[in-house]
Amino acid sequence: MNDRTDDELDRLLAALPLDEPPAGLRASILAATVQRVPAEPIDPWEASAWGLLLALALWLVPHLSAINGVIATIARTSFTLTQPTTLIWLTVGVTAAFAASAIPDFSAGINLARKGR
Amino acid sequence: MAVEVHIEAEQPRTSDAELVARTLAGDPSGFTALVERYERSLYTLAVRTLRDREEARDATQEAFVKAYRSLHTFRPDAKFSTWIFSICYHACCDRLKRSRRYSGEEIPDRADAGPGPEAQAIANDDAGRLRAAIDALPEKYRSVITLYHLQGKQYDEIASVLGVPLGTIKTHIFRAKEQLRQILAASEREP
Repeated sequence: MNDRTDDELDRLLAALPLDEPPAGLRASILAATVQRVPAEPIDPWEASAWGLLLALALWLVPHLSAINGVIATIARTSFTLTQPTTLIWLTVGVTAAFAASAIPDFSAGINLARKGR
Repeated sequence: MAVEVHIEAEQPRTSDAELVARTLAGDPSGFTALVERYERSLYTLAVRTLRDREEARDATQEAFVKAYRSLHTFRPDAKFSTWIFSICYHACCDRLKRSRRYSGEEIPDRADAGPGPEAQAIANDDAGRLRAAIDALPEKYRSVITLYHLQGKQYDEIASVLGVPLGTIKTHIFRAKEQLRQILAASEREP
């Protein structure tokens, strides 16, 4: 074994059987490749219909706002509520209230004040 | 001396290029045949490079999926086995890097700790001893000697798969064989 020639080693290597893959490997490869069901494409008609509805809705908003004051107010309020600054202040307010309620003395003081009334 | 390599891809009924063309034309049987043809050799390359059967399983699957997705980039004049071995080898390297066991070109020229007691128990014949000896080689020699086994004496193909110069491959194969001889001799001397 120690003095194996190059040819002997080559013969040994050539005779070495390949490793047996685990059961199910081939099936999982095929399932991930040729048998893979492609994602269902969106129907062009469906996409067009949704696009049309959205465009109609966007077109209607300014028109209705101009006609009716209530709708304009709702639209304005909705717009204001979606502004980042408003959302930040709302978050700050809710967090501060939550933090204050978590302080025991602060909560106890409020309860005492309520009882005293 | 003509080395007889045990690989299903050596004498294909249908050429790899034809199977690739069939796959690209929308016939899934083309790729199925390629999977059947290369599954064992890719798994062997992965298991000997990674020395972890679970990781090797995942690397083999990853290689086939990558090959399937980028089949349109395969040049018909290229050799499919070299291309897919290269994909598989790089998938293995990525896994080794992720598991922090891979140290690139600066792998020390020493044999690894060697097979454990379980591997030694099954290494009771020439094939078992040789497999254990390959496992004990450093990573760069394991890959090169495995490809030498899978692809025969096609040094240029091995160089393409590993992405290293031809001269380096010849040196690595020479050193790998030297180390194999030493490990085999040592294993014979052991009681």
